[in-house]
Amino acid sequence: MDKPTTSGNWLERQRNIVDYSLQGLFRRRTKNSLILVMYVLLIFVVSSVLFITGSLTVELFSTAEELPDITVQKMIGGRQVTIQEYYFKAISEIPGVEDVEPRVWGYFYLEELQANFTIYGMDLTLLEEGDYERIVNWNAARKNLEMQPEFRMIIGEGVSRLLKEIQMEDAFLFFQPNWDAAIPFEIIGTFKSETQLQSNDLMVMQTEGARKVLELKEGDFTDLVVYVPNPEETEMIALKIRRYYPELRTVTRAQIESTYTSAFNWKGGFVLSSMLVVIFAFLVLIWDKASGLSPAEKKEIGIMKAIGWDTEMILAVKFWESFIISIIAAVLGIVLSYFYIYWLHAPGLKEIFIGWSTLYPSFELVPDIDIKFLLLIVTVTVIPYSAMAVFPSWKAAITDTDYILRNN
Amino acid sequence: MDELMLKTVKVTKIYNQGKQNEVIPVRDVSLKVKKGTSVVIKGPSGSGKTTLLSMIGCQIKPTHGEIVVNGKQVSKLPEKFANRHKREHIGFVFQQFHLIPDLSVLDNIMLPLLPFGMRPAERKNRAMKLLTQFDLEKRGRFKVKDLSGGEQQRTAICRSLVNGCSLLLADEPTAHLDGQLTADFLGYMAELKSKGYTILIASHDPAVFEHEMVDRIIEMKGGEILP
Amino acid sequence: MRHSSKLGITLLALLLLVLVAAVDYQHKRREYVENIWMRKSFQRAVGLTDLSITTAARYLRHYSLGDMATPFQDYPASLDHFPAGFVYSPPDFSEFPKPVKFGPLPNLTSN
Repeated sequence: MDKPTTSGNWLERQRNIVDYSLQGLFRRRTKNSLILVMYVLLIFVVSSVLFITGSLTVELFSTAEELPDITVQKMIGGRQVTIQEYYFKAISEIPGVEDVEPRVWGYFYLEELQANFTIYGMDLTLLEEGDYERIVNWNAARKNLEMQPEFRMIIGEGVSRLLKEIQMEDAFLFFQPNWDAAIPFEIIGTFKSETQLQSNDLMVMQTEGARKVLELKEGDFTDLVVYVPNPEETEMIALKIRRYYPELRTVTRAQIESTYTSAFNWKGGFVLSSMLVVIFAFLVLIWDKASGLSPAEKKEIGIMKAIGWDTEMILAVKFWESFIISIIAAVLGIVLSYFYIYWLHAPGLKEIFIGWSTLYPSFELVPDIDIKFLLLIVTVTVIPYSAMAVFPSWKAAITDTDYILRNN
Repeated sequence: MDELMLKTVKVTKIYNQGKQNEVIPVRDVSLKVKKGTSVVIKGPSGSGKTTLLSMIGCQIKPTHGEIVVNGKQVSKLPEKFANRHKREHIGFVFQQFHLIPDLSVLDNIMLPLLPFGMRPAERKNRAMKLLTQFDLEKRGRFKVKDLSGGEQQRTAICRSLVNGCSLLLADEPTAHLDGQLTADFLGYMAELKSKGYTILIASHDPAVFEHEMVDRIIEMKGGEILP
Repeated sequence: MRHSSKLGITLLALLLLVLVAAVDYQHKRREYVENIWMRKSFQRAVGLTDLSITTAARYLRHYSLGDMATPFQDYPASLDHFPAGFVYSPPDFSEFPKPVKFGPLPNLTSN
């Protein structure tokens, strides 16, 4: 027989190696399929957790600039109570304070639907002009109303959906058993879905109406907000408020932002526990690879050496086997996770965030992806996995061929 | 010296040199084999024939001495070049065949060709020619583990020939075969010899060294060639 | 078909998926940036904190404003029994006064 073309085209040789690796993968089909599925699952979980927490954090921070500078609460016995009028004057006289506004807000629990609404009292006419006007889907009826102001409210989408179920989408009746009569409210609009993540459970109404619903007596308020134009002075002013009135508690915007930063970070129970499980599972996967080859695989390496394969080629085959699985799994895991979170809106996962509430937003999140982080995930999984697969093969490849073939 | 396919000069192999468990399976072996001839190395087990054959086949490196195959010095080659030489110029039929059981006959035969960077079609072509020559065309797609002993042996022979080598080495090829298969095997060897192959067989089977195709018999005992 | 060709096709399909995701990402981000004024307007009008993800408990709905006691109800050893509490890290209580240090009492007259 004539001689074959010796040491042919490099590219063709690489293709042959890849062909052989793939053939090897298919030969051990069951095991490799399971490994692939597990690997995809692990990466999927990691990306999903990263994506959802990243997106929620972005949503939190998208409006953080507009938060009030200082929120003031009154505390008795370590718990929040209503705050009285006489604090305003004293606080507004602190130098550096531009404005102090009392707020009336709270929660209303609707037993029939087991839903907790957030009630917020403000001057509704403010929402009817400028930019604010465009964040509400106004109901047609608003033009011809002659009712008293306290009987109007604008609701969030979640509330609207819930009220539709009990056919109360135009007007809602507030009632508690200890009241004399129910208080009817006309629903004049719904906040648009772009604000959904913040407004979903809100009922924004005239302050007097809120007072009635929350049963707050005159002169009492839920809390105060203080506006300080110079950010450098905020901490000092907050400190002064607490010094003058030890029963008051202040929450500055910086503190709220710091809470936002740590809300979903890795120290949170959810992220930490899912990451630990994934890391552990992945270590098991790698250990399995590193702990050595089966006798059949060792023999195969011995045979390849005996018929003239270079050690590098044998290692290349083994490397490709693992590399192919890991790179496909990593990319697939990340892509599937993207579609799961941003197209399917994380069914199953969002329930963990929602807990027992009956009112929840649709989780239409804005994607926030740091490419560096994704590349990190891919690198940190693919490289150790491929390397661990090569190591035992290298050991086998440098062992005396005769020894391997005789003992396997 | 163009006539010589193989020449060994005082080839010695020592395992665990200098230690208490020192073993010298091959000692000062010098021989010459002309092209196109078939030689049988005869000797009981432990006489060093397998080790000698492995050294000639570049599977093991000799401790002392020289091996020249087809005019090329192979005993002192670094591993990479020894591998290349093995891959390109030598065909080895192992005693236990050493085929990969999960692969098909065709894949096993084509295995030595992958390092050459040949296209699949070309590889298959070469393999099919050999299959036809050794009556294995119908078994091409079968997995080796599903074949009979004789078919496996023929596959092993095909694999050793696929690289177009001219020196064929066979280590105890008839050890697991019955009389008929032994006769078949020797028939194939005769055929190959008539096509110009140089054949070196290590065996203690009388059927082998008494066959007519054998040109020369070299006897080994205790690692040395008997005069 | 050669195995390596099959692999090539698989990788191309994957790449296609990645591209679809990338295009979708750009689209969503653009939409978000265009509409961010709405979120900001809402926040300015209604100065409440946090997202309306869970309304199960008040301290979870507005956890940035929650006081220390509410997650633990009436006594310190009481456990958080809302499952959503597992997800959120506690708010920043850094302005709370530091623990009392026992030692000589300060001289009240010199102040």
